[in-house]
Amino acid sequence: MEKIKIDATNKTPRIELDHEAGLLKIEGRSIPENSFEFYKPVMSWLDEYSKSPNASTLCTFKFEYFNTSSSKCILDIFRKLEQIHQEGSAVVISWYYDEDDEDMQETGEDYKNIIKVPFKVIPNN
Amino acid sequence: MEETEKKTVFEHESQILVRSREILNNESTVDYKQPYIDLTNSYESLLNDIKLLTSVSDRLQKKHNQTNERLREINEEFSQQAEEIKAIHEALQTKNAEITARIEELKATKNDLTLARIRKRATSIIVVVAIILLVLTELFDRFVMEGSSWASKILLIILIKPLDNFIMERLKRKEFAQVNISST
Repeated sequence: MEKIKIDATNKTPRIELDHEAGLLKIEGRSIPENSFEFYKPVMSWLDEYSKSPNASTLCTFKFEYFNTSSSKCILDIFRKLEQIHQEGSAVVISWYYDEDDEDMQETGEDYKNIIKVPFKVIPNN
Repeated sequence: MEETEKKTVFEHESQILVRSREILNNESTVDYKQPYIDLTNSYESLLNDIKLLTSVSDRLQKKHNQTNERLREINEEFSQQAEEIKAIHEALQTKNAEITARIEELKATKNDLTLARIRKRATSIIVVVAIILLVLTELFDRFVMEGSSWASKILLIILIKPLDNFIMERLKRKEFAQVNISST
């Protein structure tokens, strides 16, 4: 599986997917015109990754802001990670938020409550 | 969200609905129990997702609204500051016009004073020159003409005014030339 790197724009986040390192990283602002199309490569990569996942997978999410359709795509990504975790691979999700961004912290807590995967909500320093 | 966006983002949920409808429309299906359990589970999952997404969306909208509110406040502050700057600018323009008028007045006063000083000097020079010329004409009349002549006195009186003008002009030129040199 090839590594995927997508640079950030003022509307879309930076994405890094690395099978060898067992790494999934999404950070920035997510307000794409079509969220489904934008996150499609991530979902496809996860479909492929779930067939032979690493022993441990580290997932980092560091959002500045995202729209409602992105929040659905993020949830779908979490569901996929949940499935990988249920199939026996260790998955850890780290949700970073700006120290003074209470809303992003609460959003992380909401996802944490619904997803059955070790989920850390961490303030950015 | 756009209509197309809804279709794509909820692709998985749409597929569940299509599958359920197919089962309902299939007359040969006798046992609805398992499909009903699957549909209930999917509905539960969807309901949880909707609750979460609504909560997240509300929070994002709140954040958006707060940002808009802050932008409106900043805009109002800028408008107020722009009004204040405009008022200060207008006051400065008025003050500037007053200062310019005052400078013009001072220049005119200085010119008047300079002219008065020149007039005084010119008058002094004319008096001295007139006395000298009077003495000279008197001496000329007495020793050369051997008698008093009114003609030389009248000539002297006629000459005083052009002489005065000439001296005034020379003094003015000299004075204003000095002013120009010192101002540059």
